[in-house]
Amino acid sequence: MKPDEFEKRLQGQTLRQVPAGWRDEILAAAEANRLRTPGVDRAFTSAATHRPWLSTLNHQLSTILWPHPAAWAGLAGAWMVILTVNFLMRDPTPAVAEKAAPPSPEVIVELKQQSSVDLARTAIALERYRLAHGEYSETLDALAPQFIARLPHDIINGQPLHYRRDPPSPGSGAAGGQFVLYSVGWNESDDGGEVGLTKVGNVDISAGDWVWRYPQK
Amino acid sequence: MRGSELERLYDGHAQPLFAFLLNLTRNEADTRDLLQDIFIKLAREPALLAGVRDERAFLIRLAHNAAIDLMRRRGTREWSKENIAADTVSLFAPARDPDAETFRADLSRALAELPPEQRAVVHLKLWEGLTFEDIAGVLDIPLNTAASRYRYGLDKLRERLRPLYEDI
Repeated sequence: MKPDEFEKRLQGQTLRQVPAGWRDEILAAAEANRLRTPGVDRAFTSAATHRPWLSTLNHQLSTILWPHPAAWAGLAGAWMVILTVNFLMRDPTPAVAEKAAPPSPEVIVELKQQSSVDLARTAIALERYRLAHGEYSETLDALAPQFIARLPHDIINGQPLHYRRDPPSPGSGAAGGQFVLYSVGWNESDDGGEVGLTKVGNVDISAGDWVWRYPQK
Repeated sequence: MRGSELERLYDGHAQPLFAFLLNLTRNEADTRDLLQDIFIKLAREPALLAGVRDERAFLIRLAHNAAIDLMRRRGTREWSKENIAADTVSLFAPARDPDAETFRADLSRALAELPPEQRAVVHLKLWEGLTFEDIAGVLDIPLNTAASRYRYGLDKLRERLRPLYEDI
């Protein structure tokens, strides 16, 4: 079939008729709108091609805001709800958040190591005092500044380390006495200088105190 | 605009507007909405037609713009997928001859597969009898674009229908 014959064949096909019932409805709708105060509807322009810039801007924006500005408003609303709920469900105080957070083993170990250094430095000072005075000091304060520049505080709570000088027990071989020096440890409570132990008797650094004892038990 | 003037416009132009919009939208409900919008506009702004020499061309232009806006709002992907899949809308009047009826259904489907810009040109050339110059003015495209869209559109239709119809 030649191209123009094909065209003619297509042209010969009768197009569908507009449904008869539409006429009255459409004209009634148009008339009803005519009777309202006519707004300046700029969506349709006149035969001239010029569009007001506001209409052009609106047209351009509507392609960016596809599918529909209302959808974007709904999305923004959903985000507001999400952010509000998130805010309301935040931890009430940082301290509560801290306690609520389970401690990672690494954190505890790190603190324990630092605490061990502090206990060791203090123990050295105690020993130097004993060498000078023949016995351990009654309090830690007696050590500074002569035997230690500054006494370290308990890394856990910033308070002074706990110290207790005990009289030498008979047969211990510890001339000059004995002492217990300790940090309150991870559980932040003074357990009297007793280390935490697991059920099977291993040291549990997350419980009890962190202790430097002379002589060792 | 007086009621009688609106009626005159409707009786004179609703049919070709309907056919054109139906070809573009492939959806009867959308076609009805767009057609109604056009007549509401005309009722509200009678000045639109003041000094217009070719009413038909002007109204087709309005219809085309409205259809494009609707397509943009909907998203062309959703548009074509939905409507081609539905395939219940025929552009053509029912034919008495069953073979002719089949041909019309196939043609309707083939037209739906054309991109909207080719479909618009093909429709206006074949069934509105517009010249390429008229089409260029109405669709706001260059003359040679109108001509090439028509050529591509027609070639695609032929390619689509040839396997089904030996004589094409």
